[in-house]
Formats: sequence, C-alpha cells, structure tokens
Amino acid sequence: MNSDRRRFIRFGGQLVGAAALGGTAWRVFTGSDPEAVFSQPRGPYVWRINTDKCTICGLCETACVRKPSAVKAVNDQKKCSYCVACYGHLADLHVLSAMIQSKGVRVCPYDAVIRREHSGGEDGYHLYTIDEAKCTACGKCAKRCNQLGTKSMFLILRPDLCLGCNRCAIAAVCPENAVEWAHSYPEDDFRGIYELENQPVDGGRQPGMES
Amino acid sequence: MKFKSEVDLTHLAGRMVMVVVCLWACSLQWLPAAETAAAPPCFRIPSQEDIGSSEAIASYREQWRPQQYFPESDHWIAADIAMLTVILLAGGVMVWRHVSFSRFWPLPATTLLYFGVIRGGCICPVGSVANMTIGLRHPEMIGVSTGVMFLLPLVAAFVMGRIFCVAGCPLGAFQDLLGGGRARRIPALPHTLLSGLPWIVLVVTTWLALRGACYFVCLLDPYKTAFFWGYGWLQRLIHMTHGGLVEPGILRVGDLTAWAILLAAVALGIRVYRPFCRFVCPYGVLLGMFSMIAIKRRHIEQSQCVKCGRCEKQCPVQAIMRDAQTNEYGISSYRCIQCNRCSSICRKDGIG
Repeated sequence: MNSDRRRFIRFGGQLVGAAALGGTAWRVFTGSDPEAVFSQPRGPYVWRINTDKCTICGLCETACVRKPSAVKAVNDQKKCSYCVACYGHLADLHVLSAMIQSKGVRVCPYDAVIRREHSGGEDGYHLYTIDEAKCTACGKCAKRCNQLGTKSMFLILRPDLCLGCNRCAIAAVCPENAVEWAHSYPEDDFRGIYELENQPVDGGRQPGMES
Repeated sequence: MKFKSEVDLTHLAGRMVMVVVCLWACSLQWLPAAETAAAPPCFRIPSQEDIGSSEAIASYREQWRPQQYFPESDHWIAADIAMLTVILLAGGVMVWRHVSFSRFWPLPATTLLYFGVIRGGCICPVGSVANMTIGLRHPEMIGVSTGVMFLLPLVAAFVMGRIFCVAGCPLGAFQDLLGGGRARRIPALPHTLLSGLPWIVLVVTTWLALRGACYFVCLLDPYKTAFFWGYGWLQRLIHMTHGGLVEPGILRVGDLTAWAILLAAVALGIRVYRPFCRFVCPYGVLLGMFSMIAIKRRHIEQSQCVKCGRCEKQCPVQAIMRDAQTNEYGISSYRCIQCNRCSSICRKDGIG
C-alpha cells in the first residue's frame, strides 16, 4: 500500500515535470517572433547615456557586447537646423545641396542618416533622421553635428536593445563615466524617435536629461 | 603528507596551481593602469578653421575608415548545443555503466575547456535561470541557444538525474579541480540549513530578473573571473598569432574584489566539496527536483547492502544517509550529482 502510494505520487510528479518542461519549451520556442524582437525595455532599471557628459568619442560602437551596439544616434528635430553636416560633406562646396544625395560623400559609413525632403521645391529644407537598423553608434554624424551644427544629434542607449548586463561593457571603457544605471519612466521615449510632427508642445523628456 | 593515490597528487597540484594563479592575478591589480588610448587613432574631424584648406579635407577622407565587425556566427550556437548534447549523452553512458570518476574525468575536463575557456563561461545553464525567467515573460528576448542550454540538462535530469552537474557544468568542473576525496563532512543540521540557501537564491534570482534589475545568480558566481580571464588569454593568444594588437588591459580581467572572492571560493573549495553547487546554485534546485522524479534513480539494493557505511563516508555531497529506525542506507536523489564514487567503492555491487 505504502509503495503503491509512493509510486502514484512519483508518477504524478513525472507528469507534472514533463508538463513543466514541455510548457517551458513551448512558451520559449514558439513565442520568439523575429519581428517582435525588442518590443519593450526589460525592466525599470536601464543603462543610460548621460548626454551632458557624453563626448561622442565613439567607443560605444565597439565596447558593447552586442554587435551592432545597443547605442544608437538620434536627431532631435526641434533643435536641428537642417544643415548637411551629419549627412554629406559640408566642406564640399562644389556639390550643390540638391545634388548631395547623388554625388556627395556620406559622413555615415553605413549610410544610416536618411535625408528626406520636407518643404518641397528645389532649395527646400530637409529632415535628417537615422535608420536605427543601420546605425552602429560610431558617432560620426553626432560628432559633426556637435562641432559644426546645432548639437541636435546625440547618442542614446536604447533600453529595448540593451541586454542589461550586470556590468555594462560600455560603462567600463567610457572615459567620461557617462553611462549610468538609472531608473527609467514609462513616459521616457526610449526609442528616441524625435519626429517633428509627434513632438509634444511643451517638449518631451529626453533620455539622460532627467529633470 | 601521505598520498593515497595519484588522484590526490593531481588534486594537490591543481589546488596549488589555482591558488598561485589567483594570488598572482590579485597582485596584477596593483600594477599601474595601462595607458588608455585617450585619442582613438581612427579619425580626426576637421575643425572650423581647417575647412578652408583642401589638404585637411583630403587627409580626413584618407583617414576615414569604416569599422569592421565580426559578429558572433550561428555556428557557435550549433556548436554549443551539439557540445552540450554530446557531453550529456556521454555522461549518461558513464552514469549508466557506473564508470569510476577517476576514469571519466576527461568529460568534465572537456566541459571546463570548452564552456569555461573557449566560450568564456557565458552563457552557462546556471546563469540561464535568469534568462529563462525573462524568457517566460518575453519569449522574443530569448534565443534558441539559451532555451536549449537551459532545457537539455533538465531533460537529462528527468531521465537519469543530475548528469549535468558532474559532466556538463563548467562551474562544477572548476570546483572538481580542487578535489573531493578529502573534503570535510558538514554536520547534519548546518548542512540542512545551508541546503536551503539555493531556494532563496532561486527566488531572488527570478524576482530580480522579472524586475529587470540584474542577473543575480551571475553576480554570485565567483568562478566567472577565472573563466573570463582564461577567455581573455585565449583571445590574446589568437590575436598574437594572427599579428593583431591586444590591449594589455585584457590581462586585468575583473577587479581586486572579484579575484579576492575567487580566491576565497577556491580556499573554501579545498575544505568543502563544491560549495557553490551545494549551497548557492539555483539551477541545482531545479535539477534536483527533476532528479527526484527521474525515470532511473540511483538507489541502494537493500538485499545486497551489508551496511558497512563506506558509501556514506565516500559521498562528497552527503547524499547518502542512514535511516535511524530501520538502519538502512538511502540515497537522496535531490542531492546526488551522479559522480559514481559510491558505486565504485561498494564491494557488494549494491548500488544500482
């Protein structure tokens, strides 16, 4: 009787164990959707670049354990003066503004800076955004923007791309100690989409510029 | 000092080498810091004044060079999974046939070399507890590799018990270097209390992983410093043979605290067999739970047993206990790590 009961409990345990293994496998292997990758930050605490300290040295590109890096450059459209410093060669005065797209030399080695015509017409102004899929956080565009433009471009550490390592590999090499482990808030625009149309009137909070 | 066998000699040598390496690496911390490359030599942006001069622009264009990437290839994922499968299968055969531990040590040695040094101890199934907790909530964040690494040892435990602990775990293999033949037994009451720690670690790990705060179990792992260090040296060797430059900082993996913790863990490991596995590892809890309901469990044939108690003394994880009432010996499937030490010492062939 006693051994019967033990055998029964063990059999039940085996069923539960098999169900647990199968359920976990099913949940993990069927839930992975390549399109849905990185839909949200992993938790309330994130590694974040303090833009006040960041000098855009470009170490984030290679230091991050992810390849390409979880750091991306973004352009704040409200500050952008629509110059071409981030896109083509500003000094290349032989190329007309309208011809830069076809003839000019790109600043971005990966062609990640997108130039869109905004106002129409021959000499209208252009909007510059960054293709996050191509950006590797080399910081060339942001650095030129900070030197020659209106400092509208900066690097952010995207919490949805960040793995949240215990010790951030970028923080370990950052010469300015600009990478900090901080609490983020749901209203933080972690994707860094600084679209002109979507900007709130009173100015949205920027990552790294916590009030 | 009298040596009972050559196994003791190798263990003594292993301990001495590890202690010396730890002390030496600790002393590295006092070396002056390597010259950090403050100005990356990749490119210089022309300043406002330079823009007029065509030479500066030309030189800027000359210096501009796209960064090269060598992303982790999918082959490593396949290699990891294949390696773990082979090791678990081989371990299963060794456990099934009761091969003596002194003869199947090449298996943990392979584990230590591959998962510890070549792959840098990351990702290991122990750390994947935190990953899988996140994975249950956000399956899109978990790769196939992590899922398989987490589930395969559990499947193996479901069949034959904790084969993974003795054959496939780099942390366990590292602790095995310290030996277990001379390890001290811990009295029953403190041992029971300490055995509760992994449950606490498991709860804290899952809770913190769900909150997104940190990978708690990886923080507790004292041996990762050694793995990263070995990995760093291997990379350095590869770079040197291929003519590349390596920063000297790679030798200074981990800070003084990390190495001191490793040294303490190694020192503790000489007296206590596998302290991390028994009193910290949260993955061991899961493996132990699955071992309790395993299809083939290690047990003592009471008809064969003459109650000599040699297996109880030999068991390094104190899984064999004597029942005070019936005076019979029994094996705890939860604690047993399938090291085969009991079956190789039993003269009556009483362990099945």
